[in-house]
Amino acid sequence: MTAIIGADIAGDAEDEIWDLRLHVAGQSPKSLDAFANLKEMCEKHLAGHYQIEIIDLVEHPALARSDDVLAVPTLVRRLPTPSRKLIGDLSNTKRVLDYLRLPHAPAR
Amino acid sequence: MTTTHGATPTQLGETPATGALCASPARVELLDAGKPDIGDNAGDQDSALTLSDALARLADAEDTLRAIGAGEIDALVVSDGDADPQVFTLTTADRPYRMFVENMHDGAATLSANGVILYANRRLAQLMRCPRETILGSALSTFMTRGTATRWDDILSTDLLRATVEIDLIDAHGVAVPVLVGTSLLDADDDRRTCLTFTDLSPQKAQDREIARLEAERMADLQMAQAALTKQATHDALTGLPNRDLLVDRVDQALLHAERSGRCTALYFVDLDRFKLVNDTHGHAVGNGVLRRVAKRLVATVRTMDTVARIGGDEFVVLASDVANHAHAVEMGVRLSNDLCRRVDGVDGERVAASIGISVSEGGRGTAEILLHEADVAMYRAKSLGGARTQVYDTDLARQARDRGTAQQTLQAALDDSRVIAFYQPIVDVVTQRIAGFEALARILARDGNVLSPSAFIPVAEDSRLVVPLGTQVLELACREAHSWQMTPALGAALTVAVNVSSRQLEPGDLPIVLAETLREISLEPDRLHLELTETAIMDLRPDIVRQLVAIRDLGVEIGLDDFGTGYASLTHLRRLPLSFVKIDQSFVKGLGTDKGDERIVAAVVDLARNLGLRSIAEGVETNEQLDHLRRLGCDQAQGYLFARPAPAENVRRNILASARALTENARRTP
Repeated sequence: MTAIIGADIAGDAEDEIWDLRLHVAGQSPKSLDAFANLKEMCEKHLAGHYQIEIIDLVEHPALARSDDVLAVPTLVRRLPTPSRKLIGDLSNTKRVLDYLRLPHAPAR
Repeated sequence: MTTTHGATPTQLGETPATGALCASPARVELLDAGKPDIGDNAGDQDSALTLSDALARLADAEDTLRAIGAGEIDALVVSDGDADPQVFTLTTADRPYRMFVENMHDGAATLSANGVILYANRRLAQLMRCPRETILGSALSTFMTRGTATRWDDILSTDLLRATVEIDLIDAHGVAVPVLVGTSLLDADDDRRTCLTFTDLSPQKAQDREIARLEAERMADLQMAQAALTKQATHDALTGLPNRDLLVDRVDQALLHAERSGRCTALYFVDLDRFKLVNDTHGHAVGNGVLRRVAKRLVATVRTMDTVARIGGDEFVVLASDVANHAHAVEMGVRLSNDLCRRVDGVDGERVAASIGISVSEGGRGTAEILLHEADVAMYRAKSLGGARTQVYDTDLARQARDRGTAQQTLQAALDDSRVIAFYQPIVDVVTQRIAGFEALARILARDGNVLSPSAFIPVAEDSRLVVPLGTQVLELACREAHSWQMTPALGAALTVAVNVSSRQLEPGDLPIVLAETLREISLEPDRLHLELTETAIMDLRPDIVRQLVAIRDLGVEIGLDDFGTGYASLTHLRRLPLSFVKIDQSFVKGLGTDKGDERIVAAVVDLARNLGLRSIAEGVETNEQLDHLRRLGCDQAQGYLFARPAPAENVRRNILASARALTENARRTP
């Protein structure tokens, strides 16, 4: 865990693609909020270097298992490794950036 | 690293959902009770949770709790053994959608795989007119007729899902409610749930029925209007008789029939005598009454198979088909005439009189138009013979009609080519024998240079509207001529010109304006112009005619009565009309010196005129003896061959110059 926390990925590789997966429950309000917040942050900080996969657990509940999802919405950063998980609607921007080790600086 | 471990949920003791919800105590428990275990089990990775796994799970649980506390999640994933996890959405999470569904205008329901209603919205309860509790748990088929239910099963069992289908639901009161059902499958797995929406079609159906009803009403109205139009197109509104179009149609049919039968078809052109007078003096309401009575009488007189049509103001046509022979046809015409005269009341206690023209076709000869024309010609002849009689069309009439047609063409051509000219006949002072003025008389200059006598075209002009342009042209010519006299002082005193005005020229009602414009354009002094009206033109004293005459008099133009004594003019006319002179008809003048009766008449007219302040002018004076009589009776002026025949303008100018000189010399000699 400490390794993960200490890892600083962002900015190391300009061409690296951030692979993000968002688990949602249909179009529940928090799912929609999370997607909207995520999209905004990615555009701001990772423009052109990210991809978001939306997993609707209402339609595909089995997929919850792969990421050990307990609550919805849950965001999983699959790349860059190590994988990280964040639960909630991503409304607290600072926390999300800290957690995902995204730079606070304005858009790249 | 956090995703690939083989965690066993049982290690956490509960399902993750419950664990998450009770995360705080669970964590404490794990931390308190689990620490030694972590150490003990550190080497046993197959059967126990590794420390890092446990920490990761704790971190997840903490994060979940934080997110719950912050209100950032609205669904939990619950895993139970090997079965697929289930997602539970917080009840408040779907509130917006619930709001939509609950308040939407359509009914909505969720059905279980076996057709039981698991959920129904408020609107569906309203549509079924029962509480929602009654609906929930019922089979949807309980709200259907047996037939509909069978059909419904078919619909659900086929792949028509996601389609819409129209059915009737039966509400709690047994009333059928037409609905449009939209279906969609909620769950593709074993637990097939169906989501349905129900759009109430009752208002639309009611609207459709109303539209259909209005459309039916409109069609009925349209049919009635069409029938009325057809009737209107083929019948005369006043009398309800067939009109000309229908008559022509029936005549053609009768002629076709007669071609085969060889029998006669007869047309009777009935024109009421002096009907215009009835309309003018008693008004159209009275006139229409007469027309209706005539129509009724004609219908009563003819056979049921015959047609009585009204084709114009006072013009009726009777069609008699299948008549045995020519003599029979004529006989019927006479009977029609007699019947009208004897049985139909006119006005003022008089009986109606009609002129009837008869044309007969044997064996289908001719066409409707030809027969109508022939009957018209014959009627015209009956009228010109004094009316109240029948006239059969024959070859003589054909010739006359041709002549009249020719004369009309001649007149029309002359008007078009400006070959209308005026001749002038002097009007002389009976005492001084000085020329006071001239009467302008219309003539036509034929293409060969000859001058046509008035008898060749005046009757035709009077019968047709051509008298109006003819009168206008002569008026202008006369005014120009009088203006030239006005500009030639050598001609002597202020010479006047008298122009004849036909009654038809008074019909448009603008004669005063036409006159005023003509006078102004030509710069003729108004008192140089006199108008001569025939008695028939003014006999009914119509207000609009009197108004026009007063307006003309006010222009300064003098008005006189022509042919006095031969028409209908009465003392009333002489008193009421703005007249300045009367002209004594030549038929009375002719008898002066030979016929005591004529002498008395002329004497009376001259007296009457003098008493009313009117000038008297004798026409057709041919002898000195007549002139002597007129002088003795006190007649003011005279005209006739004794003084001069009508002559072209240039002759007049030459002659009056000469006569003016002669008179002047004469006056010098005998002061």
